[in-house]
Amino acid sequence: MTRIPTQVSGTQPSVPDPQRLRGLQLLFDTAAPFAAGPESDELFLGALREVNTWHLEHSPFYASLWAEAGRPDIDSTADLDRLPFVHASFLKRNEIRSVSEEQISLHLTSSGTSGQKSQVFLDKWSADVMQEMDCRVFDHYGWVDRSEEVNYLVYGYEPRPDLTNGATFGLGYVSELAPARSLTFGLRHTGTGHEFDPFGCILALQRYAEEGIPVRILGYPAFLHFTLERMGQLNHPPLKLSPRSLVFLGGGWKANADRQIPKDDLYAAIREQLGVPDHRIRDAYGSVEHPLPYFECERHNLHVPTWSRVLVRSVDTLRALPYGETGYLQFVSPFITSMPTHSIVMNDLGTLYAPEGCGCGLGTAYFTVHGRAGVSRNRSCAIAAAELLKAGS
Amino acid sequence: MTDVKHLWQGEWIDGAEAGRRLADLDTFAAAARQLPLRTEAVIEACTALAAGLAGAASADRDLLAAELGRSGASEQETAAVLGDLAGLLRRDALERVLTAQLGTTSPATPVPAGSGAAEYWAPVGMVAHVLPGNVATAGPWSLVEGLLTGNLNVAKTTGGSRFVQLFAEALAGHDPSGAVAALTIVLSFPSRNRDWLRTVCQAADSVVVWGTEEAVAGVAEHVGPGRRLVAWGPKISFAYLTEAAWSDPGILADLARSVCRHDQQACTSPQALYLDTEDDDQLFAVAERLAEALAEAAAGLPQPTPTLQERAEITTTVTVARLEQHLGHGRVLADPEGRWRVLADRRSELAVSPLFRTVWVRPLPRKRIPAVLRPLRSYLQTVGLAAAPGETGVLADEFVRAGALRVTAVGAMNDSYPGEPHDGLLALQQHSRRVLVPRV
Repeated sequence: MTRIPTQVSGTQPSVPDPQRLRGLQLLFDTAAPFAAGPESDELFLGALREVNTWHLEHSPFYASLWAEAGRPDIDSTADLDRLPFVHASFLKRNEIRSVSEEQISLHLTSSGTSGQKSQVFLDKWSADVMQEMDCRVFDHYGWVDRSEEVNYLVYGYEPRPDLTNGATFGLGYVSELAPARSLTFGLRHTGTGHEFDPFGCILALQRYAEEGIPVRILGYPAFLHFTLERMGQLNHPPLKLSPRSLVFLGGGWKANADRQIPKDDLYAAIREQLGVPDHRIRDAYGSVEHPLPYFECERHNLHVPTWSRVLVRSVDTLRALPYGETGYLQFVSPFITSMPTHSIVMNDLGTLYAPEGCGCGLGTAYFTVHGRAGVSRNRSCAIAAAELLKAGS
Repeated sequence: MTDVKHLWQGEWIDGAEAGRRLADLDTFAAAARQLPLRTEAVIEACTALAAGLAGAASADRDLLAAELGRSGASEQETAAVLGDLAGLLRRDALERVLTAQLGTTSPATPVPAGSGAAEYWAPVGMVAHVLPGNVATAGPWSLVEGLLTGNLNVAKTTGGSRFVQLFAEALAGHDPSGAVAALTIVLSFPSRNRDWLRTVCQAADSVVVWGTEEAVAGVAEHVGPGRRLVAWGPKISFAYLTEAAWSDPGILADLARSVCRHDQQACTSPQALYLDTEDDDQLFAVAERLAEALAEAAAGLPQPTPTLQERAEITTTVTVARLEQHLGHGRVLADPEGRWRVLADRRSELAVSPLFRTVWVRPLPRKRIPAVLRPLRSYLQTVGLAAAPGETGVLADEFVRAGALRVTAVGAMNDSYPGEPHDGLLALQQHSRRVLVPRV
């Protein structure tokens, strides 16, 4: 098997215990992003068994959970539903770790709309591989191109201007995948907070269209929608960005959920108002609790990379459901060594489909996301959990 | 045809016409202010409509029932809504509301006051009602409060249902004076339509908004300085027992019945049971006994029918509680048939239940009541309190200081009476001005 070169870090990320997590290292070093089939399953299961043992030994919480589940052996992918799981909501109130505090190199908190935030702790290995996986999927789709500069419009938070250090500060490793000529943030720093700047976004897009080099638009879909909406209200003629431009969305609509429009409508507006071809408009699913990359293929389906398996569980019984049925999304992935979240049920509803249903040629299953599993408000005057969480924050 | 869904002073109009009239809303409001206060005419109309709603069949009842059915209410829910309205709108109930809240059944009649003055209740002028989509009785009742106090009412409804419009039309049909029709405008539009929302709120002297924090914030920004904002936001209620009470099986049975009533959907329904203890063993022992009481209370009752999202909320809460058992935070006692759930937790913070007979059991030693509850004061509503006779008054005061609005017996949390304060306020006073004029 050939080792896959890393995209950005230069050095190969290495597992916290090379003896006991050899299979995990192997999976990361050798598996192509969408490799599928019995060999990939074996590689995946080998790594998963190692990590399961790792968490059993390092997390008394997980050891107790696994014992309650009957200490299941995972001999095949059919056994995955027997693995116990944590729930993403559990991480909002509880900190669980399988490594010491000194080994934590990245502390993430969810940017969710409710007051309580998930606390996620990544060791160096976990943090490095998450980033590297992103890059490998980018590379798989042909989006790594260091030969040509691009202009960036990022619908994300601008870092404090007085801390700014060069044009690409705040862009992180993404700028390594295509060098930046210039960078515009959609959520500008005001000195004390952030503010959406639609006029700045429109000006940047107009300038980028004139310059003609590829444009990369990244970040929250809501603010791109607001920008296009404003362009329409101002009767700005459609722009023609370079056809090699890329629109890569992620993070969901969050606080702007009440103004959400269907994805197809947003993509149509992007095609019409910016001239970006459909296959270069992609959304992504991700979360702090399970920070692996799930990016849309050219047919706009979220395929499961080879580093992960997805299950869907009944919201009534928690039993695993077959393809095509809707329930909680569950992810199983051996990559996080710092927390026993290698098997995690999310707060989102989803449906899983067999690989053949897509038609893009990728051999892994894909899923759709149907929004939050749970109520944001009750049908009566009783306060709902999501509301009280906000109140407490 | 489908756009003709707005009822403007007795006339059905479409969105374009409503937009034109809204541009002139101040003129309509000025004209309405010239009308005399006709509380008696409103009571007459309500009483006549109530008689029809209470009966087995009437044209009004059939029409309103059909509209509720179209918006997805079951026959049982429809019967409950119309029955509740019939009870609220009876003459004796309305007179008790007026007496309790304004001290009189004829608010416009001046009564002698000091220094040669006379006082009476005058309308504020125009009341805007931003109505909830989820509580069918709220819209009609909110309108009636505005009518009893003589105001022009502009109600915003949302979604496909024309229930509030049809109610208003039916009520006006029982009012030969024409006052009800002249004082009622019902518009159906989503909150996304900020222009209409702003127009309605800016013209109003008093704005009532039912709904979430976001809904309240979205409305508040349009309420002019010096105008009144009456926000009926979401609330939480719980029961509190001292040792004297939890050893009484009758109290736990009362609580179990309160948990089962209305599928726990009312804001007065207990979402948690607090115990005046620091002892985990006592906590878990009471939780066990509450589970038994719930099993008994739920037996024979029809199974609730939560939606997919509501079921997910329940499963998520129970799943997290089960996971937390491994950290020693508490215990889950759940009916294998899914009819009820008791979640015992050793932490004191107030947690929201996913409802449908799910109740938290948590410790709250009385000395910690202010610290634990005070931060949530704007959400606290009913405390179902049971304690030894000598303790009840002191504890009730403690909860009131912490922010609670109603302290009741454990079995009476859902009960109400005509004229009862609504979330700490007397609505009729919010829609009125107590004015004084020279005595004649």
